[in-house]
Amino acid sequence: MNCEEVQSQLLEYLDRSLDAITTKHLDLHLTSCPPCRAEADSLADCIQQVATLPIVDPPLGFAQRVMAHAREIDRKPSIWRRLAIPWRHSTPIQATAVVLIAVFSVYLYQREQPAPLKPFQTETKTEQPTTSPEQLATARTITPAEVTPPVVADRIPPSRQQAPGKLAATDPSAPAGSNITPPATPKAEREVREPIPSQAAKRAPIQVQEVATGRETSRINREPFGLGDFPFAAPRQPSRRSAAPTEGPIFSMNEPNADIEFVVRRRSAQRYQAESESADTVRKSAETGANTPSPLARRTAPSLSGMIVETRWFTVAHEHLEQFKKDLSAQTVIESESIGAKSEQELTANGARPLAIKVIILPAADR
Amino acid sequence: MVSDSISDAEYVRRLQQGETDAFEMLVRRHEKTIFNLVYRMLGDYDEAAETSQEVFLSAYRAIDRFRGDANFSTWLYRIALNHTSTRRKSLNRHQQRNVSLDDTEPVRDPQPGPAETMEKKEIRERVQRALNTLEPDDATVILLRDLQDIPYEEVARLLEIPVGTVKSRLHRARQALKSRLASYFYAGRKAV
Repeated sequence: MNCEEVQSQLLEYLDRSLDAITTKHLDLHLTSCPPCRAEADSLADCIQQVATLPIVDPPLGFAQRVMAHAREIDRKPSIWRRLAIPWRHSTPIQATAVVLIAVFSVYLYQREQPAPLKPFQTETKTEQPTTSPEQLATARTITPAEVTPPVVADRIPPSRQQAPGKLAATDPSAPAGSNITPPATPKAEREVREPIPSQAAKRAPIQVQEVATGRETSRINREPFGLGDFPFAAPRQPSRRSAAPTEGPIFSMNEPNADIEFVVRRRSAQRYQAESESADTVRKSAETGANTPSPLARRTAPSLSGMIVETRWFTVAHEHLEQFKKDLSAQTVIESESIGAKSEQELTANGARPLAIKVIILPAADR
Repeated sequence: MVSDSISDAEYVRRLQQGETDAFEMLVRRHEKTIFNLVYRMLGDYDEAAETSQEVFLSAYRAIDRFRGDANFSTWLYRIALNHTSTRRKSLNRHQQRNVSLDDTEPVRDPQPGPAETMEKKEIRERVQRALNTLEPDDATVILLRDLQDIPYEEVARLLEIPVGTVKSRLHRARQALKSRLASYFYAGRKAV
């Protein structure tokens, strides 16, 4: 056995973990090789010195101190437990508070937020001017400052919930001709914001702002689709309304991006009932099936069935969308419904913002 | 008193079920070995007391995560080595690592008999200083194997390295320690 082999096995030799024969070979080499002997002795000394280091006792009361701290840990949970435990117990309270805050925020937003839609500037050129000279004479142009925030119909005093014409006639404080300018062109439009008093009693009004871009009539002021009872109250500010002329304001506007677009068709019978000057005429037309256009149809789309005759805009709170659709389907025949540029998921995510709904009203189908 | 008939695993099980007193049994059973390992690694009695306390409290906090894959003592050794390594680095950074065995060990050593010679005392001081100048890994493996007399296999599990690596590291560490104590051993031999 040479020195290199001895050095490689010196660790096991000192640990006494070698077999007897190898140990004997190593012993023989070490007795005859002073350098290896010195190396082995010095390493053995190191091991011995470390192994004989005295065992030191921990401080007196060490275990008691450790246990005191451990019991303190039990009494005072960690920062994570302190955060987690109260949350576990107070989750229902906090969840309720969050829901209440959210509902209150939506309420405040809808109550305080002014009408988000700006006055539009343009109008389609394909429609025929049908406004009568009387309507044009009483129409006025609304300025951006006059765009009023939505007001729920039931907050309007009953004495004020009457037809615009009646209001204008009975309100002496209304300055004659104030804010009224002659329409520049026959294409001017009219804002429709007139709740029907009986509707407020039937159903709690839902805050809806309606903006008309198509041609409107005074009848549409009372009936958003021109088809009788419609539960969505078109909000308006009482003070503004008291000063308003009999007809809704006419203004042109840029068409906004619709969140949802409906294409609906008037129901013939309802239209006749709403539009005919004589119930007998309506009944006769219905019975005979004669294709007699209503006065409105005559004004807007005299001949082409299916032509777009009206485009109406509504702003509806997200949670009232289903109710809006339900009432719309009750009044009209919904032929199509399409989501606008935004996806449905985005609409859901932006639930706090009122939806801009475009309703394209087609004339009634021929019977 | 610590009951030797009950295993560490049983005490751990009781502790995990909420019996805090079981932890006291574990502390009393392992306090001396853990304290001596920490003390020899740090070379300072007060630092060792504080660090050892943190070792046991860390084990107490983490006892729910101990699944019994290894011995409790092995798990405790690992915690001790982690704490000691961190503390040793901190002491090195602040250059506060001073071996003061003259002040501490004679008072607290349970066997500081009056017959103990100054030479033995000096040997202990030199060995301790040499250990403190070693690389932490080298000092660790020497203390585990030569001071605590832990088998190679257990050291390998504790350090999570192969047995062969333990042996080679131990040989290297012993050579390093020998070189630091060489002058003293020559002098000692001459004196003897």
